[in-house]
Amino acid sequence: MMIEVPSGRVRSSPAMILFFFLVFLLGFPVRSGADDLFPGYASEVRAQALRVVEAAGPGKEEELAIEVRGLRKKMYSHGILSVNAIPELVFRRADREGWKNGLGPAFRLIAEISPLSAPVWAWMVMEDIRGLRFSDLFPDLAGLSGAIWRFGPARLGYAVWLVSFALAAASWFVVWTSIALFLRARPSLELDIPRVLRLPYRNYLSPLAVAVLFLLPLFAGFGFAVVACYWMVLSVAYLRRGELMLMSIAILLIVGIFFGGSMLHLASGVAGGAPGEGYLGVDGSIPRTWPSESGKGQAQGSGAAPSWLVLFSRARTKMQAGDHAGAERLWTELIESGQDLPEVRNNRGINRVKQGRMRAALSDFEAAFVKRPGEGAALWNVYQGYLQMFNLERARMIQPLAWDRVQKLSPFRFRPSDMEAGEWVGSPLPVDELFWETLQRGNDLYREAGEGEVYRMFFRPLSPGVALLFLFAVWLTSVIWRFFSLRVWVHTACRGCGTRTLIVGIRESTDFCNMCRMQVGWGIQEGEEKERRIQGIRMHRNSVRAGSVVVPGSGGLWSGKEGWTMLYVVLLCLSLAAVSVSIGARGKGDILSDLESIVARWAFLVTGVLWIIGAAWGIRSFGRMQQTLKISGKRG
Amino acid sequence: MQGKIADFSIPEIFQLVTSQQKSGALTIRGDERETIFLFSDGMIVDVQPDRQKAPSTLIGNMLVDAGYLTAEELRRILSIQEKENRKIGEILVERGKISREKLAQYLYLQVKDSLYFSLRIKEGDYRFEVFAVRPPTWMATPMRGDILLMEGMQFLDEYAWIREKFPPERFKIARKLGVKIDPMALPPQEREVWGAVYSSSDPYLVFRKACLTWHEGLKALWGLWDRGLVEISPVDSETQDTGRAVREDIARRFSIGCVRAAIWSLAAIVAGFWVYRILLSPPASHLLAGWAEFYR
Repeated sequence: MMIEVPSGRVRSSPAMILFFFLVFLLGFPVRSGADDLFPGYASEVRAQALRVVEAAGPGKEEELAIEVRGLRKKMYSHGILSVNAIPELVFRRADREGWKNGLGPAFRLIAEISPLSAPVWAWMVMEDIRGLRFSDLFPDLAGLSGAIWRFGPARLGYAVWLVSFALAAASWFVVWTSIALFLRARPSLELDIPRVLRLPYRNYLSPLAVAVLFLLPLFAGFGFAVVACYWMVLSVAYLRRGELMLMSIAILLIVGIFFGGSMLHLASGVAGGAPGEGYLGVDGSIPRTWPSESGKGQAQGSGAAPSWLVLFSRARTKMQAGDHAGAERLWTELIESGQDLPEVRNNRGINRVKQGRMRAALSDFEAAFVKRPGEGAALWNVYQGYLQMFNLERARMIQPLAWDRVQKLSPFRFRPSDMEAGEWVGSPLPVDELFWETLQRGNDLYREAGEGEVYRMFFRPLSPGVALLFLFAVWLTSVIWRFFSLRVWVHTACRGCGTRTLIVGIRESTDFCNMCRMQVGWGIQEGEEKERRIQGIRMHRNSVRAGSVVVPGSGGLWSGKEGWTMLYVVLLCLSLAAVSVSIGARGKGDILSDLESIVARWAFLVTGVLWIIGAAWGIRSFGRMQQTLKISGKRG
Repeated sequence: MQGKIADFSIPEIFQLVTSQQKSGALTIRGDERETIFLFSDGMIVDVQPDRQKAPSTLIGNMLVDAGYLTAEELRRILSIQEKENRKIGEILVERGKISREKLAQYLYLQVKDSLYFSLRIKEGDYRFEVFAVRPPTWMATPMRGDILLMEGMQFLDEYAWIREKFPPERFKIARKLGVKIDPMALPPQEREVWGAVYSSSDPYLVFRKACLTWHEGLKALWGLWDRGLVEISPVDSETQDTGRAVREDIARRFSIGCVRAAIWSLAAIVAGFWVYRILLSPPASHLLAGWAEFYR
């Protein structure tokens, strides 16, 4: 009989695995943290990037500069152009530790390793303006424009900002115009609508009826464009030529909003679904998510990302992660698929260098330079290639041009004197190609319009197919109703005193009642009749004043100053648009949120000032018009 | 000849001119109006009432009040009169608006009205200018000043007594419902008033329609009332006080203004919330701030 003795080695194996795992974690704490903070980069880059973040602090510029120089060398050796996560991490640390106001010097150093981070440049521009440092302002502005121009998400973000800003401004203009025009028509509508509907108790029910008509589409849940059109059609019979022009502009702007919303929708699709982390931002941060594979090969449809650009990003990712062989295969695949771009050749050259195939790399660099002689990165790499192969004669020949070109690559602040140890300059994602491809999808603008969130908010319950027809119908109805109103009996409200008269053939010449046209002031009769006229004038004045406060500048319409009113409204809408596009960008705790908080504060302030100015101007211009009609503030 | 009415009264002046069969113009000024009587051989042949102060005694307005002309027709006739420089009566007769006889009746009424008013003047002055006056063509039987004067004196004596019969304030008249009567059985002036009552409830307009002076009309109306043919009731103070209606309208407009202000304030709040929701609320601002995600 055999007695089995339990093996101690087998029993202890789980404990041993756990022990080694803990030792592993304790042995590489920095590496594990860097993995979380800078995923996807080569390990040496990740480790150095973490040291940069830790080195930043108030009065620690020298220490930071050393770490930044170290990271720069490691980045260039892998063709990495920018690590955009670094300034965000430094900002969060500064915010947490309370030295956010002293971030300027640190960011000036960090800009060398995060040149594609537009928020960093914007922060420095803000600091320059705040400190009145004009010598730094223009280079920083150049850096900001360079970051926006060369970094895919930044350029697309800028385009989206422009569209969003224009869309918000147009929306505010439409809202202002539709409400102001309705208020202009309100006194006449209060008599005409009960007359047409044959309402009982007209004196009391007419204001209620018009208010209900005003609010009806809001409670019905219609989109803002539909509501604005409804208000404008109701008021068109009573408007002057200048006001009709305002209305036409508003309808055109709604058409613009229709296409603007479509642009925003397409932009999110082009960006790969996740703008911050998608394929587009590969030169600033390695993407964690990628556009779905279904988009591949269907780049021309439904606003999806062009598949070859996604492939470019994958190759750049492998390149920055140190997988040079894998990256080279993707570059070659791109070239064979017809995308033989200088950027592709240049990047493949770097991968070949890293694999020790200098001659093949040099041919790629030269091919890139030949394809686009203005390409500074390729020329620099050719120069570096000659140096590495000790072809000093050729290197010396192209050195001045290579140095000059690489220094001018904005926003990268390359210093050729510090780059003599095998630093290679990679090519970022060719953003221009993306824009050309996007522009070629003009048809999608109309086809995709109904898919966007803007459409749902602004045009419900209309279906996308009829939205433009609806706007045309609104315009046509306005024209027809306008001409028809010249042939029927409608009420006109005197702009001077508010007296309402039922007339046929409403025109601008009927804007003033006979009393105002004769400039008889409060009235020619004595006693109660005079009191009644005074009361009418005061009520009219109060309603115009209240309207001018609620809808600033609308008093200008009553005083017949449509041109000045339009100019004012444009300014007001621009400032309101700045509020609209900036308040939503706050509260995320990053650099951009901080900057947008400042922008929002200023936009609020400017809007408030413009609001007060508009209200005062509207009241004043209306008061002056009454004075010319001899309706002063005094009785008699 | 001229002087003060206080020294030489109106009846005395009329008596003097009539008895001496003078021709000329007697101008009487008093109670802020000026009336000119034309005499031809002691007979009153025409009168020119004060256009500014006594418009109701102008022949055109009398005919409008009596319902023979509309205000618009009168305006047209007056513009023709201005162009052609002719008497208004001639134009009216010529255009068939009124018969010659009817015109004569109303001119007679105009003279009587003016004379009765002049007899009440206590302070003022008079002036008589002698010149030849030819009787107008419409005058079939000239008016004797002494007879008119006697009627006028009687008017002065009786007026207070008759006026007391009626309500002190303004009143209105109407035929009593269900009354049937042969008008020919009534005295002439009462018959005229009975016939004219259908045209208006305002006694002034009824008397004009009946071509009677105020005094004659009141006297005839009293006769009808006494016979139980008409009803007399005071005019409502509401309609009498035209200012009150306007004051009430002012109050009503004020209350409507308050209602309107309340309604539109509410509407402004709702619209403001709507604007906030579409352009400033978190979902909207998130939509408009989608650009920021490209920088994160």
